[in-house]
Amino acid sequence: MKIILISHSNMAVGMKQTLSMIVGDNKEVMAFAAYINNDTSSIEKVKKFVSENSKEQIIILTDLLGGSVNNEMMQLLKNHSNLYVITGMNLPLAMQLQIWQQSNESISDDQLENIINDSQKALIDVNKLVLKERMNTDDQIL
Amino acid sequence: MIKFCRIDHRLLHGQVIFSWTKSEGIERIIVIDDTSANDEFKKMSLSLSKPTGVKLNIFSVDTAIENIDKIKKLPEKVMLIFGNTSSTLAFAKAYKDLKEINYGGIPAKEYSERFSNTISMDQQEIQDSKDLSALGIKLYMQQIPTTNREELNNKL
Repeated sequence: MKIILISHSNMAVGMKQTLSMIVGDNKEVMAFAAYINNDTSSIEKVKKFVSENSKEQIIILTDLLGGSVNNEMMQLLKNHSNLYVITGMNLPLAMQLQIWQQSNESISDDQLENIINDSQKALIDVNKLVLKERMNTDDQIL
Repeated sequence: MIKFCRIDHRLLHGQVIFSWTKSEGIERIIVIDDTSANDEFKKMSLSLSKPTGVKLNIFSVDTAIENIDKIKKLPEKVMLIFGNTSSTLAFAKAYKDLKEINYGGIPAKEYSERFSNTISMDQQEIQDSKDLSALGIKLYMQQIPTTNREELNNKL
């Protein structure tokens, strides 16, 4: 199982640096910055990588639905059945996938769906959370 | 059962929650820090950042020491997190059989000596650490489970 992060400019590269800080460096997670100075070589590198590793399960995280990075990656789905493209990447998603990758050879559709659902819940208005939250008193009992 | 013990001025944060908790299979986290224990807002924000399914206590050093017998009897895998060396030393003296302490984060101050990217200690903190070492506790610096572990006892 390989994980590819790719975005317009440096979001994906920064995401990988943040992952390294929190959950460690992982060679199976690759990051690409696309279209800096109109350079399309990152897109080509990912296409080449996917073609050369078509037997391996590959998960690509892109930045934005409708953006050209995702549009390009989507095209790969035509010819690669073991490829997954997920857009709207966030840190909880990338982190959970990396953690999963570290102890598993591959990921099932159900597990991937669970991780996506979980990551969607990670967008939180903290002001409202603070208003609602009270210290969980059960926890304070040893 | 105490599985993992760490000094980290940031207490609960990404590296602790997503890396150490998972690698050590932690079921309960006990934060031992006077500042946090006396600040309701801080306590609330710590409880918001705890990993799901993990229990959390936030104790002052005194409360933690009063509860040592209960802590020893806990069936869960427990992580202790201290905010600084002095609370660690006070607890360790009372607890008596702490085996290892992970040095995760101590910020630089004026006149502090730098031991790693994330560990800087002033004279008092170095003395606390020497005292911990004299109790027979292994001290080591390590940020996350996949990075290098560096012994600290011989560097003090």
